[in-house]
Amino acid sequence: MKKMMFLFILLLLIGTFGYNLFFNKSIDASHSIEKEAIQDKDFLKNKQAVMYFSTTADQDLDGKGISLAVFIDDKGKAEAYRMKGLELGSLSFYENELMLVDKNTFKLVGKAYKEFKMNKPQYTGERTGYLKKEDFHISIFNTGVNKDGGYDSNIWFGNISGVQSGNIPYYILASGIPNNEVLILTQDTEKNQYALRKVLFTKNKMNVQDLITLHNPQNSEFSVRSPILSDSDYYYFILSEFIDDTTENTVLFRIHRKTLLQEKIRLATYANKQHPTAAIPYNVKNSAHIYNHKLYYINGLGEVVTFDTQSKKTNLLFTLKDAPKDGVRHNEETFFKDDSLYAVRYSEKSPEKHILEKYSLNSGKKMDSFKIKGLHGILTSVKGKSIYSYDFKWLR
Amino acid sequence: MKKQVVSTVLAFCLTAFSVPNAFAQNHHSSYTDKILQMQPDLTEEELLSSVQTIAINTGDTEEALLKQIYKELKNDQEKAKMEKQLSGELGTMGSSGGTVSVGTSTKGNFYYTASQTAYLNHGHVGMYYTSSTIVESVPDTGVRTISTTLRKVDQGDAQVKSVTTTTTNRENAATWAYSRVGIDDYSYNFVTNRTTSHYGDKNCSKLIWSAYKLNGNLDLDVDGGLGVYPRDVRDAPGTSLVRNI
Repeated sequence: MKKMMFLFILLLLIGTFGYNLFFNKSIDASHSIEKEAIQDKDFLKNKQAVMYFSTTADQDLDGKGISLAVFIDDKGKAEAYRMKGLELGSLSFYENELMLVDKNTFKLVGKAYKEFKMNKPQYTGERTGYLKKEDFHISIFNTGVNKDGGYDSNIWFGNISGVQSGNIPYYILASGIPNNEVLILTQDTEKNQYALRKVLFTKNKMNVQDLITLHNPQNSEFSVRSPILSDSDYYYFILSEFIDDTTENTVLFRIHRKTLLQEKIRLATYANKQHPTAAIPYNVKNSAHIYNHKLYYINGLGEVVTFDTQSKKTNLLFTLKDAPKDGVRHNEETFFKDDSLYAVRYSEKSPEKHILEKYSLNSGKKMDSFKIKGLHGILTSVKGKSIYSYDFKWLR
Repeated sequence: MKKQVVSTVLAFCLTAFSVPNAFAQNHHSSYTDKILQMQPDLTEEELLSSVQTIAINTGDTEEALLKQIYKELKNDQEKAKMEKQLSGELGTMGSSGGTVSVGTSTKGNFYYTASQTAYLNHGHVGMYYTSSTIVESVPDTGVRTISTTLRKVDQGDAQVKSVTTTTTNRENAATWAYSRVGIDDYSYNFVTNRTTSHYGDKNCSKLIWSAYKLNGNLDLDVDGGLGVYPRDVRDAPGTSLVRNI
């Protein structure tokens, strides 16, 4: 009898160990944030940055996909708040208020905690941001083709008072929320047509205004490389022009706001048979920025290229030291703010693995850096699923 | 006292490790439970109904068909385990290793990546509709499109492959797969998906298999049988490696 008991207990232990080893997606308790903690109005006070990670949609086969909002505090320590999965999910931050999104809910964190549930789940994100004039956050999703054959990109917008939803009836290739306006570059994949459009909000309703269809006489196929940016005169976005399986042109499109005159400026040509994805930015949604009449673009090789919006001259400002050249990522991220570039870097040699660096866009020099404590532990504690970084924001 | 302890432990073990409980009560075949344990999202009704239809059409016994399904699942599971061991990633994926964008490729090519769920690593495949747009079937959404730049996979075991056939077949296959976007929902049935209709709910491997079956009469399945799994498509004769991702 004792032997039987021993056998059962042994089986139980092996089973539990095996489950934890392969399938348990719980995060190390010392690095996890409880729901009560994020509801505290002072929660963001000692946080200087936040990253967003999620499983991909195909991993939601069992309905157990996850996402993580990883907060980095003033001491460089990372802590994770776990939610449901949302591939390509992103974050919105404005004046001590952060909006977290997963496949089912929006959560406003900071000034006051509020949670809103969506009436149907979303599985792929597109962009999340804040419109100051309207005083609300928005989140756009890549929803998919509807039953009538049209494309749906659902949009949710709102603030502490409530949220509403709408629909952008297009497949979105690129998007941006510069200068208090929502811009989208839509793609008709069957006709290979690309159109710049603006999403307008009037009295809590939204509609889409057509701006211009891209002039594409060579019928080139494009993929996204940057968010859509703007200044007082122009709209800007960077795309990759497909040449063949291993070669691409990186092109900047510039469209005049009033005349809608379009310019296509080739920034670079990449040909790499061994690592054809190497030049793809760490995060195409956060890869470009306009500051002081210059457009800054960081590619996947760590090169920060500038385009002078007045003289139209391009220049290589600087290159991140030891940036990988093979296209392999370890959750590196970038974020531009004012005259600075913040970069989450990965170093195999460092025990902490992840380092946050700050660069000056004026001088190209590294101004500050610190090791992110605990991020590697959080990421490796997720077992049985692959999670990927999709957003990063500097909160100061 | 001893009996009580043993009973308690036994009861706990049975509760904890029998999946799913509802199925445990109906032992249609010893294979039924094993299959459903490996494919918990597949309903017993769907499995048995599918097997009954195949049995009528082929003259095989239901027991033999269930045995074959189980064998295919076990083979796929063994392949997954072996590949994971070879890649030296036993236990964890992605988060500690590197990740890569799928990247661009030619219309009609497809990509493969290992894709872990809580119960089985089936892998995942998606097809290039254009050089920069993937068409693939994913849970809940069904057949969808996603940018090749934004689609991330784990580095090491992912690859892009082409199908050895005419350009017309490749383009027609991709166009057909795209035509299912928004129409076909996701199906959790991998085990008999070779026998189900090309039109209707489907998973990722079925989408590509059907696309080339209907356009070029190609059978992209390395081992035939009743189910076509992502690795079956990846390893099918008539496919060749374009690049490792």
